[in-house]
Formats: sequence, C-alpha cells, structure tokens
Amino acid sequence: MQKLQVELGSLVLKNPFMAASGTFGFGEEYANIMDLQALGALVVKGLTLKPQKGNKPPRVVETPAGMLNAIGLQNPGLDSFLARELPRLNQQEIPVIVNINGAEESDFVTLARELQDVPGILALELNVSCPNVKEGGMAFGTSPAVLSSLVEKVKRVCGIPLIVKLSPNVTDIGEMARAAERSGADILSLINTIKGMVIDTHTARPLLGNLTGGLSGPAIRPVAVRMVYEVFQATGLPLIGMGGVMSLQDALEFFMAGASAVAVGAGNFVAPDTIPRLIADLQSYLERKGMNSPAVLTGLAHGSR
Amino acid sequence: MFLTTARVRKKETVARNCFTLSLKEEKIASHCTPGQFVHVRLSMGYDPFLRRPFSVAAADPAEGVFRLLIQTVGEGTRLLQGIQEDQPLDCLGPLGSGFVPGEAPYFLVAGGIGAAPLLFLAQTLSKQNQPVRFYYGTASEAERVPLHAWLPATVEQIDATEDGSKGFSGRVTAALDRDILQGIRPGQIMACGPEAMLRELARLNATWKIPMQFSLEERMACATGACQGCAVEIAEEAGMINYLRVCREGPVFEAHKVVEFHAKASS
Repeated sequence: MQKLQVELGSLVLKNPFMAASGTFGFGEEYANIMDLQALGALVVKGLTLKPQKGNKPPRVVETPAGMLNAIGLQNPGLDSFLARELPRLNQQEIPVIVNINGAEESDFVTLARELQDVPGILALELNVSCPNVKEGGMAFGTSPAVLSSLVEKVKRVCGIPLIVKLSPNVTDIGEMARAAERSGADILSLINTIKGMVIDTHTARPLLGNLTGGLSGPAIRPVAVRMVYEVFQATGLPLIGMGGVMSLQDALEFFMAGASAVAVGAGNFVAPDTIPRLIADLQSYLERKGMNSPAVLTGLAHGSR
Repeated sequence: MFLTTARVRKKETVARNCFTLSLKEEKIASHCTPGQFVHVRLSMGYDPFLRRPFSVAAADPAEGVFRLLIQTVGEGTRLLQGIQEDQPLDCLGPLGSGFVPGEAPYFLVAGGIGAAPLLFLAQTLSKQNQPVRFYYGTASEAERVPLHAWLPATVEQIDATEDGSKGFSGRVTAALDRDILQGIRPGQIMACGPEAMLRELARLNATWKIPMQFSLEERMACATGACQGCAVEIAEEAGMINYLRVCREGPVFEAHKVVEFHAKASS
C-alpha cells in the first residue's frame, strides 16, 4: 500500500481529497452512503457568527456541464455549530476544516478566536470569495489591500493553519495570492465559484432569486487549473485546488498544476461516491507509476523550476 | 438512503409524453414510503450535469421492484426515455419525508404528472383499508395515464379535464369544490400537481378548512440536504418563517405552512 498522506505546511491529511465547503453540509447527509472518516478533510458549510436565513429561491440551476448556486450562506451560526454539529463530527473522528464568513473584519476575527482552540478542528478556511452574499463575501477577496488587512487580523488570533479561499472573480489571482501570503496565510484554496447568471426566457428575468449565482462543475475546470498554475508560480504556499473535479484524471491536472490537495464540490451532487473513488484510483495510479507519495505530482506541469 | 444501481425491468408509454419505468432494486423497493423520491443520474457525461428527482409511484418489496411515472418535459427526461429494458440506472434513494397519515376518508388530488406520488399513497392506504377518492385532472384526455391499472378497485376515481374530453369539464379543483359543497367531505386532502393547482387548493381551503398536505417541487442539486439548494419558505411553530429543504424536510409539507401559497392566496 502506498501512503496517501500529504502535508500542507503543518496541516497533515491522511489523503489529499477533501469535500469542498457547502457541498457536504456538516457531513450528516452523506454519512450513510460513505465512510466519512475516509475523507482527507471535510470542509463544513460556510459558518457565520449568527444564523443566516439564506437567499430567496430558486437557488440552483443547471448549466452546461455545471450549475449555478446562490444559497447565501444559510447556516445555523457559531453557537449551534459548536453545540450540535461539531460534537457529532468529533465523535465520528471526521477531520474537520471550518469555513468562516463575515460581513465585517471583526466577524471573521471573532469566529477565528472562538474556533481556533476547539478540539477537533484541523484548520480554518477564510471565505473571502462567496459571490452570493450582499455584505462581506467576495468584497474581501477582490482587493489586495482589503484582503491583506483581513488576513493579518485573523492570523493574529488563529493558532491553527489558516487557509485563504481565493476568488476567481479578479483580474490577477497571483496578486491576491501574494497579498494573502504576505499577510500570514498558511495555505491557499482555489477556486471559489465564478459569478454567473441565467435568464428565464419565459419571464424575461434572471432565473435565480439572487439574480446572480456562482458557477461550478466541469465547466469551470480549465479556469481553475490555470489559476492554480499561476498561483503556484506566484507564491510558495501549499495549495488546495478545486473546480469541477469528477475523476482522477481531473484531480491529476490540479496536482500537476501545483496543488497539494484537491477538493470535490459539485461532483458530490452528481456522484456522492466521488471522493472514495478518487482515493482508490489515486492509490492504484501511484502504485502503477512507482511513485511513493502524492506529493511527487505537485507542480509537475511546471517542469524543473 | 442508498446509492445503488437499479435495472430497468420494463418501460412502457402510458400517455402522450408520459412513460413508466419498472426498476428492479430491492433496497429502494423495500424502504420507500409514499411521497419519497429517487434521484436519478441521466448521463455518465456532464450534459445534463445534475441528477433528476422522481417520485416513487409504486413499490413492491416482495418483487424488489419500484415504479416511476415520468413526463418528458425537457432534455433530461427525453434522455431517460431512451433507456432500454435491462439497462442499469444509477439511483440515489429513497429520499425525503413523505405523506403523514391523517384522518379518513382521504381525498387525493392529482394534477397531471403529480399523480405519481399519490398513486403509491393510494395503494398503501387501500392496503390499510382506508377509504380513498382519487381526483385526477389533466388538460385533455390525451394526457391521461390509465390509472385503473395502478389503483386498487376500492379507490373511487374522479376524472376532470379542462377541455371536457373526459369526466368533469373544468379544473380538478372545481370538481373537488363541487363535491365538498354537496357534503362529500374528506378528513384529509393530499395533493400534488402544478403550482396553480396547489395555489387554488390553498385558496379554496380557506373556506373548507380541511387538513391538507402538499408534495412540492423545486430545483434540486444534491437531493440529500447537503447543498440547501431546494429551499422553500415554511411558517414553523411560534410564527418563525424559515427556509426548509424540499429534499429533506419535504417534499411533503402541511399546506397551511407553505408561505408562498398563503401570501398570494390571501391577497
């Protein structure tokens, strides 16, 4: 058996495959069709200080080789997460990463301070790239100065690895990556969804209740792979790549572009067994290639640097 | 909930743009209850990308077979119509929270393809010797599924067509209203159909005041509750209005709690 363990700085995962935030809830939904302990990590649904009601429906719509979503970060809030969801996840020994969100810098800082020393949380993922909320969200992830200021303040109170989830809705993602690195980010994850729209031609109005939504699925994969490639060259930070991963072939593209781990998002909706399948397929791929670790794959597409 | 491969036992065209699939899959057949659904993968490619939810229309645990009643409305259902007998079909299910027993007699109100979950319900209630009337409305006779093949003999079927080509001439809701005004009164109404039909039932029930459950439809991605895409506004106890998931807390909800039908019905 090859070891699938990967290290992203001080974050150690038993394998490089994670469930992306917002696509696996708090784990409960998929518990009876897969062994959640097998996940490299479960990034739970985006969390805010107070419960969030979410956006007006319709919230999802299918698009060619993908989908738009505009959930609006519906979640039970910090207190309920700590009281109900986390104890259950801990009891099942599921590796948890918490995705945190806020309307203001102080929301992120409070969440990070409250969560960073709670047992059973491996890392925090700073969501500065949600395209579906009116306050905060993507606004924190599209200006280097605003991003820097936020990351610096959160890092100051966060004793566990801090992942910054980058938005693709920028002109130069390398610049955003460097800003996050300078301010103390430990790991970068990319990409969040790409802002999009579908018009309902019967009503002549945008179909989604929120008007716009975030595009995900195989449709965005080439954009995501390109951005991982660029960010790998722009920073020295370990990367978590995501965007339309359905098969090992897709995951290999991300590893070779520069990712040390890969997250599955919309793919879970279509094939809920995607992550267990990726784990098994990577295992046999490494054996076949005589490679002793997934880390060997990271950045291969860049040749000798 | 199981992620499993069903096998197509039989495919049959039953009305214009409407077909049934009998699927062999023991686990789903023996675990599903009326109102629940399965989430079906239509293509191993990426277009269409998402699965499609279909209500279970019948289940025979002894045979290990369940049935779907499907209307071809778009690209996805047309693709599914092309499936051949003996082919595999990737199914996730059974999913959702179905109908909750109420007080007899039961009046089931189906609009078009909304008949699917109610057929399963009628079969189950009949096995429990509950009196059932089945109101079935379509635009015309050509769209009508021959329900007698599905419904037990004890179930009384009331037909309505909007063009008058079969049974009551007019909307199925008007047929029900006529009966209730004549004193033929149910203890419980269960309904599934187009939004306009459910809205009209909600409006009429302001006068009838009969316990009523609706099976709702919404665009879905995961169908397990994880993505929260299929939200519907529900008025819960203590006046709280929250977004609940059609795939998880639903698809069946108590009609008076569905905010959208009330807000607009009373205006």
